[in-house]
This record gives sequence, C-alpha cells and structure tokens, in this order.
Amino acid sequence: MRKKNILLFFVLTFFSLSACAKTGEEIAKELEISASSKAIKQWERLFKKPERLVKKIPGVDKLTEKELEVFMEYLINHAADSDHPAAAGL
Amino acid sequence: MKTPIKKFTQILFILSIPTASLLAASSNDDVLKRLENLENEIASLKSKNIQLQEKLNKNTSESMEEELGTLEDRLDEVETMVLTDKIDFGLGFRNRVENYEQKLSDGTKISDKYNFSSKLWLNMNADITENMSFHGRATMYKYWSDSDVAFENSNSILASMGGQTQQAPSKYDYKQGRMPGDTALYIDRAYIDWTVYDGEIPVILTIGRQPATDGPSYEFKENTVRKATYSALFLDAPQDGIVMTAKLDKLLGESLDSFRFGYGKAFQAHDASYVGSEFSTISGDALQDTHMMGLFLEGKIPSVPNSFWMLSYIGGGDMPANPTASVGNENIGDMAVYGVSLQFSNLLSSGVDLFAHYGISNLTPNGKTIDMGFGPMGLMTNEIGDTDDKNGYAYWVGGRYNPYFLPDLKIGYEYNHGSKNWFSFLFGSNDIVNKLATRGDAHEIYVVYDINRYAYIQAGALMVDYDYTGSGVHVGAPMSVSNSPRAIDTLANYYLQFSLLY
Repeated sequence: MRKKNILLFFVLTFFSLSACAKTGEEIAKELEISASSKAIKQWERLFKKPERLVKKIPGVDKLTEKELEVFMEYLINHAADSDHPAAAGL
Repeated sequence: MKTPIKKFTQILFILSIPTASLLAASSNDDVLKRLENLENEIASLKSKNIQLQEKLNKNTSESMEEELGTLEDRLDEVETMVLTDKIDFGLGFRNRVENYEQKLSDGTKISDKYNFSSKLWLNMNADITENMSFHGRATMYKYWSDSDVAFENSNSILASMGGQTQQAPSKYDYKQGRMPGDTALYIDRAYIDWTVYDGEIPVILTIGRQPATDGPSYEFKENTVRKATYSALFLDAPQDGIVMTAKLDKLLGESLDSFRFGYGKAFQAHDASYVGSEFSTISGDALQDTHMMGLFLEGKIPSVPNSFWMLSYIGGGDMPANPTASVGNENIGDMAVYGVSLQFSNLLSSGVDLFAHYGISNLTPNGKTIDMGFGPMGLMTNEIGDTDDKNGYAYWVGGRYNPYFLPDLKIGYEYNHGSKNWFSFLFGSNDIVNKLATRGDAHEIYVVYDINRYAYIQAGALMVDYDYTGSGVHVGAPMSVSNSPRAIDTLANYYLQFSLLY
C-alpha cells in the first residue's frame, strides 16, 4: 500500500509538473504563427537573430526560455519541408 | 550768461550731426551691399544644391531601378523554377538486418540469421491549385542480392509461417512495395485531395490509391508522424478507393474533428480479356468484386494536446478465397471490423507517447468453399455449407518514452493480442511478421537513436507466441497450435536498422 502511494505521488508530481508547460502548438496559436510558412533552415536562421525574431513575431520576447525552446521545436517539426502527416483529407 | 566754452561745445555738437549722418549713410550702403552679396551667394548655393540634389536623386533612382531590375530578374528565375518544379520529392531509405528464431509445435527449432534488406521510397507532393493537391509514394523493397525468391521458395522460414500468403509481391496488389520483392518501384499510394466545398463544414474527396498503410500507431516505432487514415490494427494495405472527409472542427471544435466515409475495392475480378477484339472474354458474373465501405469518426481528446481518438467501421462484401486469382476462385462471404483507438503524443509535455486500439472482427461465411490442396476451405471454416458467424477480437497497446535528459534516444514497447478468429485487412503490412494479425500474443521492444534530424538507428526484438494457426489469413478454420503438427508455436525477430527520411 505504501509503495503504491509513493509510486502514485511520483507519477502525479511528474505529470503535474509537465502539465504546467504550454505546448509549441498552443504558443503558435497564441502568436498567430503558421509553422508551415517557412522551411526548417529559415526558422533556424530566424531564431539565431533575436531582434529580427521579435520584429517578425511580436510577443515572442515575452516567452520564457523554456517556452521559446518548445516553440522553436514545434516550428521546426512542422516547417514547410518537415515530415508531414498523411491521411485522407489532411 | 553763456561762457565761451559752452558756446564752443554747442557749435561742435551742431556741426557733428551732419558729419555723423554722412558717416552713417556710408556704413549702411556697405551693409546693404554686403547683404545683397550674401543673398546672391545664398541663391547661388541654393541653385547649386538643387542641381546637386537633382543629380543625386537621378543617380539614386537610376541605381535603385537597376538594382530592382536585377532583383526582379532573379526572382523571376526562382519563381520559374518553383512553378515548373511541379512535384516535390522526398526521400526515404531503410537498411535492415533481421534474425529469425522459430519453434514449431513439435519442438523443432529453426533459425534464419542475417536477412539484410533495403527499402527505398520516394515521396511525392504537388499543390495543384488552392483546393487540389497530389500525394504519392513509390517504393522499392528487396532483400540484398535476392529478387522475389524468398516468397516463392518453399524452404524459406517465412514461407513456412502460419498461413502467410507467400506470393511474390509483383503478383499481389496489396504487397507491392510492402514486402521484399525486386528492384522495381511500386506505387503504394497515389491520391488527389480535392476540397469540393470549403464552407462551414469543408468536404474533401480523396481519390486514388489511399494513404492506408503504416497508420496509427506505427508512427512511434517508425520514428515519424501519422502516415495513414486508418488504425494499423484494422486496415494496413494499399487501398484503391474514394474517401469523403467532412471537417467538423469549425462547427464542433477539435474534439470532433472529422467524419469520413470511404468506398474501395479489396478485390477486382478483372475477368475481361482482349476487350474490343473478336477474342473478347468478358465473364463478369463468374466472380464478384469485393466492395469495401468504411465509416470513421475522429477528434482530439478535450484539453489534451497532441491526442486523438477514432471510431472505425470497415466492411467488405463478397470476399474472395484467393485474392490473386480470378479463375478457380470463389466468393466465400462477408466481413466487418469495428474499432476504437486512443493515442497521446508527448503526453502533457512529458516525453511519453501512449496508444491503445481495440477491434472486433465479424466474418460471415456464405457456405461456399474452394479446395487449394488442403481440403475444403471457406471463410474461417473448413466445412461446406457453414454459414455461422466467426467473431474475433484484438487489442494493441504500447508506449514510447523520449527522456528530456537524452533527447536523441527513444525507448518503446508494444503488445498485441488476437483471439482465435481475429482477422482484419492487414494484407499489406510492412511488418514482415505481420504481428498485428497474430492469433496469440506479440511483444516488441525497441530503441531508437536519432543520428540527426533525418536519420536514425533502431534496434529491436519482436517475440510472437501463436495460440492458433492461420494468423492473417481468412480462409480455413483456425486450429489450436498445440493440436497441429508442425504449426509455428513461437517466433522471434531481432533486428537492427538504419533509416533516413529526408
């Protein structure tokens, strides 16, 4: 019983900590940015120039370091030349 | 009385006035003259300045026009290239080595090691118009230094497996590009997405060879993203047909994202030869085509990003006994698969992916059988005249973990179980063992290491324990492995692969 409770505590802590973070998709929606508007290399180039990034994506400077990282990962994973999902009518 | 000094002072003062006036007049003229000169100089400078400005403007304008002209030419070149590059190509390439170990019901052990294979696929995409796009995939899949032999060699370990149809892929529509064959490129998907209505509920028609292979949740093991419309437990085969997708998310939100209705053919008798000539042989009534229909609902689980649920129904009427032959064949009955799927990617940003699929299969033999050298065989039966329903079920669960402290590493585990009568449309599974068709239990564990964004190495082990014979085959009654001589009892596949998707 005690072991179960400890395990449950760790699982809940793990997920609740994770749950606080915003996903890249949510950030992109908030900032009204479409990941497929640029190719992977273009996103990478933009993120190397913070001043230009702020001009291109207003509000990006308000993100935390972690959020910025998640946001960049999302944009790159869903860039125009990324591995796209396939299904009828997508 | 005035003193002489005062008088003299008065006279001097009176005399000094005109003198001062004369002197002042002379000074004003100078100033005026100087002012005039200054004005002239300013005017001259202004004039020069205007001339210079005009010259400068002219030069700048000419230079900018020249520069713009050059840029326009360059943009034209790029635009021409973009407009004439009608199809975008992507590359997939996989090299794999597999080691099989098999134990038969009589205790015989067989192993077949170091089976190397290569798979190449060319992905094609084209945006034709704003409401029409094309997608295709051409695939070459073969064993090293071996073309088509493995599937026709009765001594092959795979040829002896529980009922797997060992036809050369070139003869079997569903297996082209899906099972190792020769160096030929086969088209395992080629379809048009056409948005016929773009209103509150957009309607999209998907016409052609459908994205029906490697579907959810194979993407975790394949280290990619969703690659098909259907759950891989219910349908995993190149499928020719038409699918209508109604996008409901604008109206109902993402929790009910889309409704799909699909029609396709699982088998087309193609019993017309030399049409239009005097040798024409059209005998359309000899064997019925297998018409398939599917209904699908899917959406996201509310408040859970990167998740999806799906309800599936797939039905097929007039199943053929042998999907490769028009002669000596028979329609043996109907079948349906009902399924529910749940999937979570990167659940709550934890790096954990989870999935679960559950399906029920219902097969209704029509009493007809054919004899392929093993006695009468009908739809999941060996009895002539048997029309009783054969119901089966299967489930497939698994997960993958991508630790945040080792971002290039992924560890996954999958388990599936199928009952005695489990059968679904998995003829074109890319998994050579076709584990999801198993009537028994299958465990798979794997590790993926990302070399870079496009390439990865994977090592894994698949262990299958068969309870009944005939996994993945719809003809003949499944038999208990323990009561069957030389049926496959267990099968293990240890594999290592290098994959690239670019």
